[in-house]
Amino acid sequence: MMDPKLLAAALFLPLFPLSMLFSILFEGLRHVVLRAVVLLAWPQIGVWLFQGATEPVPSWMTMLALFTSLLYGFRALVLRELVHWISFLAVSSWTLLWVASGSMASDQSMSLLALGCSAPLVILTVLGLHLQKRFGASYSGLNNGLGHTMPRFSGVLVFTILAVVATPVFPGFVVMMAAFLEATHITLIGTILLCLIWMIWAWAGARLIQGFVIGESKGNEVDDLPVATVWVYVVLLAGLGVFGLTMMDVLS
Amino acid sequence: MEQFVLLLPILPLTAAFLSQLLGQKLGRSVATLSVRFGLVAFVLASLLLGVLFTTGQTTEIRMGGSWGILTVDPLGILMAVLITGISLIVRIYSVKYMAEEAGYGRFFILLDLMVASLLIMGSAGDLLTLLIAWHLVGVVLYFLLGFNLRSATSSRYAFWTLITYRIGDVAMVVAAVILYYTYGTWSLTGIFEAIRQNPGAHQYGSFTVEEITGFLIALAAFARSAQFLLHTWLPYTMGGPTPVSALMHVGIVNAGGFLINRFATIFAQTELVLHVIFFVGLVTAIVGSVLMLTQNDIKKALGYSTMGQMGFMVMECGVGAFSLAIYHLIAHGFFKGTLFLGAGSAMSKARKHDGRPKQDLYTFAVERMTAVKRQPWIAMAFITIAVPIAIIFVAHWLVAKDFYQKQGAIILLFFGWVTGAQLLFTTYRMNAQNFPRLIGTILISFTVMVAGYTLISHAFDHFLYPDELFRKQIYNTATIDVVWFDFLLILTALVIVAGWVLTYYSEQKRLAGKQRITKFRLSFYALVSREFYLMDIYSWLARTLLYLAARLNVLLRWR
Repeated sequence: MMDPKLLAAALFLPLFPLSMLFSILFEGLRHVVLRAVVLLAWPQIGVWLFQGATEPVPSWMTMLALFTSLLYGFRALVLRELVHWISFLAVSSWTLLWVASGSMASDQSMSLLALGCSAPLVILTVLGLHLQKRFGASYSGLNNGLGHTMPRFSGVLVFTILAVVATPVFPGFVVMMAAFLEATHITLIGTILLCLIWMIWAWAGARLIQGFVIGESKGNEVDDLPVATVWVYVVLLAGLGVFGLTMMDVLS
Repeated sequence: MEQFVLLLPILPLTAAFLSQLLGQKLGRSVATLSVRFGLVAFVLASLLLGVLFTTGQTTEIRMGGSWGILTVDPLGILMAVLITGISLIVRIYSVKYMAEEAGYGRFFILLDLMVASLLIMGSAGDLLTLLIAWHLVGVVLYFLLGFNLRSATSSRYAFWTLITYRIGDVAMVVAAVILYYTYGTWSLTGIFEAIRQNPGAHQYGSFTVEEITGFLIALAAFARSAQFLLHTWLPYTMGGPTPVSALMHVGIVNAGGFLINRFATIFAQTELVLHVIFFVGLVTAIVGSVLMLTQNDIKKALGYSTMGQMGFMVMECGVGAFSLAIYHLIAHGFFKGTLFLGAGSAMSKARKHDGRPKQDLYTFAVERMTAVKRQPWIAMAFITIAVPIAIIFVAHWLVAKDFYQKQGAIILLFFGWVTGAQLLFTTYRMNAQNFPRLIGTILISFTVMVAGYTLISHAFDHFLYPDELFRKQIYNTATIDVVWFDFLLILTALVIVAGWVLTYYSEQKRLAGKQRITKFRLSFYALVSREFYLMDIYSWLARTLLYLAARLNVLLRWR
């Protein structure tokens, strides 16, 4: 009989097909604060359950985690709607914690890295709110050419997406490296899957940037983010970068 | 003094930060800021190179912890001088060139970020720092190439660059992780020392750690240096601003050669990988040159020319001439940078005036008008075959008496001979007013080039790899069985001579009006002009994957 805490963790660090429940829940939430809370709390519950388990993680669960991560990253390729994209990338990045956990010296590191994965997704969720306010909920995923109409917003959006897709020096990079450290000495397939996941993330991120930032704007003139608001985002993203750099020590 | 190496990346980073912070207040002056910081970085890098020349000591600067190490060594400082020097020229060029572009400040910020990433990459003394910088170069390049936010095409090809780089990135990550697991440290010095003391001690399956990691690092180098099958991004990224093209072709694309040199200790233990590197470089050099000849777009032709040059650079690594590859990338950087930065004004002049110079070279090369009078063929054959060989042998003999014992040197001599001979071969039918003078000029130029190339590359070899035993070890690792080597060399020579004979008879037929365009020729031309259909295959693959992703989403009801 499998450890029930591990099974429960499979819902909060969502493994396929339980990951579909998280998607339904997240996309069903209408309020941005609720979404942010779920993004922050959901993996923390998963980490708590995971660390409370008395049995080691069976290898099939590790492989399922990698498969789930790849599946959701791959499906995110064709998404243009931010809420869906956030939901899929959340699943794709949190599941890597199953793999990365083995190379972490302390339980605290795993919680911090889960937080590091969630934080840029929270920022992206709030950015989605800015789009909703300007274009309406139905059109928030259908805006080309924001690079010209909303340059400050686009700058913040680009950096946030880079943070989500594990660009150095953000915490996602540390999670990815920790996963590589664990997978490479266990299984060749695991390593190959991780390579694919990282490539797919880069592709998904680039497609989202192309979808929002590049091209000619079709809509009316809209207000860009106020400078003061941009500075808040800059501080948050810089903080994430510093956080990622300090977390690099878990790799030693 | 060595501590100042920290300042090298800090200077462009500060310029980028100040440009962003004071962008609105400074306006167009952000360019001046960037140029001034760039100038200081160049002076500093040059000073560090001078110090290294005098002391000859390699040092490490640690920022605490197991990573964040910067190395002050000949390779890193040489790359720093190249990067800061060329980026300074590009910045100065961009001040006016980009003046009318939207996002002027953003351009200089990205340029400074790129220079900082490249400088960290060049002096990284541990795997984590190297990985971070290696990744960031790809990411910043993506934004530089897609600088024009209105152009979907630029953005598309910028993405091709990013994803190709990512293939190399993941290979590099896996190599780094294997090295860390095997040797228990991220420090490059620590890893290289362990390999030197106990080479081939660790194995995965039937391969040594050096072979596996060597192959993965070579793959990373192939992706970055546009080797065949991973090259499609290079000629298509001309939609970016010209200064970016210049910087990319001059500096960034050379990273493959740098990487192989940085991991020379590993490659010195990997006979098989060096042979693979040689083969991939050779194929790339040939394919790049062939594709370059069929382009009618000057910038795309320059792109394929870079691909060919990168192939040659990688091939040099494959024969064990690691330091020569560094010299090659610097030399190539300067001439290709000049071509890129001059391409715009050349096209602009050509639009105003076609500028067809009715000179001997133009009538011969473009209008294909040949001389009526033939030169005595025995004398010509002698000059073609013997003189280049004599020049090359004398130049090499002057720097190393035993050069003929190194297969790598022989291969490079062979290429030098082919180049010289082919140059002479093509001029026989040229309608020159003073033919002996033409031949004399060619031979003098060839001598200067060969002597310069040989002497400078020899100096590079001693500067980058002062340990003579290690230099010999690299050449020995790249060596193949003597019988096979001789066989391949003779076979290649025969193929080249057969090509010349074929060209000669084909030209004779053309002059006699008997040349027919066969179906085979047309098919070959179609294949080459469509760039071996590689872009079509990759595009089809991408479209299929996107279709599958969409189908999966429908199947799983977007959950």
